[in-house]
Amino acid sequence: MVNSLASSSDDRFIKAGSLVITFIARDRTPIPVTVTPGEQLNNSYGSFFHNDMIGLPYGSKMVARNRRGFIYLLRPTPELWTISLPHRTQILYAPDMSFITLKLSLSPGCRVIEAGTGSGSFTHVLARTVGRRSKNGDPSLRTGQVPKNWGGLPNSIQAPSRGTPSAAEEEKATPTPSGVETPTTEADGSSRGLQSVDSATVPEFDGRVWSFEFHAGRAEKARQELTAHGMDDVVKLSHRNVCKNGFGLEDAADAIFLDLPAPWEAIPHAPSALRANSIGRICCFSPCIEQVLKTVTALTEQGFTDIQTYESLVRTHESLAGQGPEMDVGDAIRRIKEVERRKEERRIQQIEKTRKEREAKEGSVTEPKTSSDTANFVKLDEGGRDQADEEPDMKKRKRQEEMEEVEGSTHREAETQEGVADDLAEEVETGEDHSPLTSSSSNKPKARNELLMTKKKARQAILLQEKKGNFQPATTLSRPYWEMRGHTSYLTFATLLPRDISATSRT
Amino acid sequence: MSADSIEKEQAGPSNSSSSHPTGTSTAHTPTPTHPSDPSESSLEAPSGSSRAEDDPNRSKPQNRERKPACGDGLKPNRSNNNTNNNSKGKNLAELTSEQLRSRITFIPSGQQVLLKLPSERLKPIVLQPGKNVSIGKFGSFKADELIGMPFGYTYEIAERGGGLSVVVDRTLAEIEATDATNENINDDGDSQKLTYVDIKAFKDAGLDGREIIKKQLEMNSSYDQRTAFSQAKYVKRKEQKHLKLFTPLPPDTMTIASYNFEKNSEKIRWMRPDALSQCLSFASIRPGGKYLVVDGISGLLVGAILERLGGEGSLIAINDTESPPAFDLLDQFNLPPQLTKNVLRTMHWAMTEKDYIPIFSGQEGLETSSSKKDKDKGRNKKRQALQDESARLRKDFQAGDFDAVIIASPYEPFSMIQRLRPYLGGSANIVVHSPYLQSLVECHARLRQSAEYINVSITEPWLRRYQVLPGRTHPEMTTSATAGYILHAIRVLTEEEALAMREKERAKLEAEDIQGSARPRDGEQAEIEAERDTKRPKIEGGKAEETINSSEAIATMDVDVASSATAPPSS
Repeated sequence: MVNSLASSSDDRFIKAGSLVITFIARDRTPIPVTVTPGEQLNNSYGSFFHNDMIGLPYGSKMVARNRRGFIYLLRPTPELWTISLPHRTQILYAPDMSFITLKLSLSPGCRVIEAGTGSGSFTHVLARTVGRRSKNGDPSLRTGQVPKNWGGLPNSIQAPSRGTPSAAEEEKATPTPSGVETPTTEADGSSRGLQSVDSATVPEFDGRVWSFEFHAGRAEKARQELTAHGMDDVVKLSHRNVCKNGFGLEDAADAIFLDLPAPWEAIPHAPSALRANSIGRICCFSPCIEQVLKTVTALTEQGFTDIQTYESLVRTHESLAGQGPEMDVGDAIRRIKEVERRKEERRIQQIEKTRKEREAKEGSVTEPKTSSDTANFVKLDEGGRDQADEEPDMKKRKRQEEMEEVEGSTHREAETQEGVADDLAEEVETGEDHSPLTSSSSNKPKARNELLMTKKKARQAILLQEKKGNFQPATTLSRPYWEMRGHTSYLTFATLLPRDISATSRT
Repeated sequence: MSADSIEKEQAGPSNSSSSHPTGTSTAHTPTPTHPSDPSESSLEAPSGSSRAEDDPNRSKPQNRERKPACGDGLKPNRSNNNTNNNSKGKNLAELTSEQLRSRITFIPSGQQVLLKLPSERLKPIVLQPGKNVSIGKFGSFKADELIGMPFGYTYEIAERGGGLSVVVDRTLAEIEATDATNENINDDGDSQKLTYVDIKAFKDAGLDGREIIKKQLEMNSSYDQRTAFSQAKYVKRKEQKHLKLFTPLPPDTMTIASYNFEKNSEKIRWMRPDALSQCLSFASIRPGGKYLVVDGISGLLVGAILERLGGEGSLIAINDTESPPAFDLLDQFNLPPQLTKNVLRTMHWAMTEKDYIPIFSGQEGLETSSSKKDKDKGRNKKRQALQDESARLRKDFQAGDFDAVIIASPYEPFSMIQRLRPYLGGSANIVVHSPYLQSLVECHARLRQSAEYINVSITEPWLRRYQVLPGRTHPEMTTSATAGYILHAIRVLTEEEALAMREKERAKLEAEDIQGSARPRDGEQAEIEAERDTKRPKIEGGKAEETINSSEAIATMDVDVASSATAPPSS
């Protein structure tokens, strides 16, 4: 059963060897899992057997066999990988990565240099952006790649801190392919890509990421990952110190991205690596403003122009469905008045009561001693009763208030409708239309809208509605999260104008 | 070009250093360096020279030699291209990466080019070989001077003769700081002794922009007291006023998005370029993917996605009118037909309904087919083709499994998402941009309630530019306050949906297996089943059994349905 699914060619389904991002809960870091027959994922929500994952479509909700909890099996994307990947260094986050990609004007077929690779999160984004799809059926024609589904490294290597096997394996990570479909054997070939000169030739239908990392262990790990994910043709990774040794590329790249402690040491190597006959772009990523200053100086010295520095942050907003609609302050006034009225009523009743009791006492003067006793008793008794009554009373009052609230709100609606009572039915209808959380599907075309053939007329009708002042209180409120993802780095962009155009004279 | 580049200097060949962009002026005979038109994909008739230089393996010396060759190679290619453009575009040859890239690196002929004028205004022009181009009061120049030149340079139109010359920016960082202060400068407008009338007289006397600026500087009593920085700013202001400068802009997404954000922000629903870039990321746009887009922003979103698809994959744009949308900003991207023709298709919202019947009633066709007129026949053929196209489109749409939907539209977001949800694949991304937080917040609340969406978030991009200069580093005085808001969610499949799909696929595969070689599989299956049983937690064994059975029951029910149906939709 499972076996037949393991060989499915339909790219909607998870296979043995597929990488899935397991999404557990909103506030939990997603975990990348390579689906490996026989293995299981354990967390506080239960045990999830990889065998059960095979054949499920990506995006499935997977319930633990004990039905206690569930997870979601998501298709990896560079963004999901970024938030779930095992960190080896400080990484770039989606907003920065998106903006850099846009500013460097990257698109399929472009050639881009990245130094250093770090944890490889941006490398994946670059690969997706500049890679071109390999042709189905004619792989000889094209080798560029942007896989829809990714393979994964064996779980013991992928995220040793999270998996069950010993963490000692991490450093000398030599992948042991165990039924994993993606060939990972090439990753341990130490000869691969290190010279970087051989990777300077790019097939004419391909895009290319040249990624450089000066830390041998990180370079190796990133290369293994990229190979397993199926991006090793579009990304050529080299273990190389670009500050000391340059990029080893001549007139080759459209853009350069530098995420280095001292980008100004690599910048002198940049102009020759960029293409001479067209505009070249560079982005330097540095957390400190002092680094930015040095970078800007180096860029200017190397002839870069249009130097721009940006900082990018993200604010996250939360919706609070239970918080609205906010009450009209008139409700508070009505409530206060009501409470006051009732208090006054009770006070009068109380006075009346004591007066009656006093009169009753005065009527029987024969036993003064006991009367005072009974009076005391009565008082005590009264107090006791009062206290006993207190709670049901409160409840009653609360219920009453609630009812009044409902009354109040209907009252309010009536008020708002008073002014525009010309067509009550229509008002009610539009009220429904505007309230966003009504469960009834608001997709049905309203009778009055059927007459509005043009968008302009429909727009005018809405404007007219606005003028009538038919405002609905918001039912869902929003609030930003109390914290925003802090500053990661400054982004410094610059361009290098084409140098390779023929010189001519000016009139 | 930008705020930190102020002083333009006339750069001659003399100050060209090895690494510096030499401000080489081009005059009447510029040498185009590249076949400029990406739409010329005619691989069947390649001009040898341009092919050779497209070779990415070329080394530097070759690079130098190729210029004359390139100029020669340009013309035959171009004429070729014209005939090519008229073809239907069905069998377009695939573009090499060089050809893809030339759209945003070299100035094309016969296509729209946006010129940035000193006023920051954009002027669309079309460069026709051999023709003159007029840009209003700025004068005119010969189109050939620009065609084939790389993007990036700023040009100045000479006062007399109309020749073009390249202008190179000098950055602010090069300006030496001086001791000057504004201690004695009064902001009374009296510093400049020249009046409007004087300047008009200079112009009438035939002085060019630079001469006028020189006079203005001479006659400004406070100029010498200013700091070098302030002087540079002053000169820049005057240059913008008097020099005939323009910059051809590459039609990449960044350029188009930022200019429309500044000039047409309402038209693009205040989508700032960084917000657009995040929408593309959240949707994980990738060559070869299948996407839905609801573009209510004149085609900016469609253009950006098409650029990222690079001619591979599929994009269906859903619009709100019965006729195809205009997408007028799409023209600014100058996309070659390879990037649009077989990728982008449009349909309207009514076509998303399952029971929608297109008004192509066959009756009319029958009627005219009897009247046998050639004209009518032709019309009928066209009509039939349109009908077929529409049917194919609806079929492709209903096959579903789209990788993402991206929305920037004035309609209520939840209503759009709910309608498109059935056509989104598992793990598909949903991205909505809106200038209004409120509408996204309500959509957010509703998506959070649903079991079909996870990871629902609303983010607000925040971007600030800094002036970075030694001793003068600070954030810019004014910053765009909003990029709009982005809602992102991932569409997931419920357990029932997921298991049903698995069973359906299993049934399909087993059917295929039976048709093919009947491999002994039962043994293996039993093995796996046994493995399953041993791994099943002992304590909750009974319970687990029960639930699994129930889910399998659901699954088998679907298999029946599936097996009776025809082949399941697949991408």
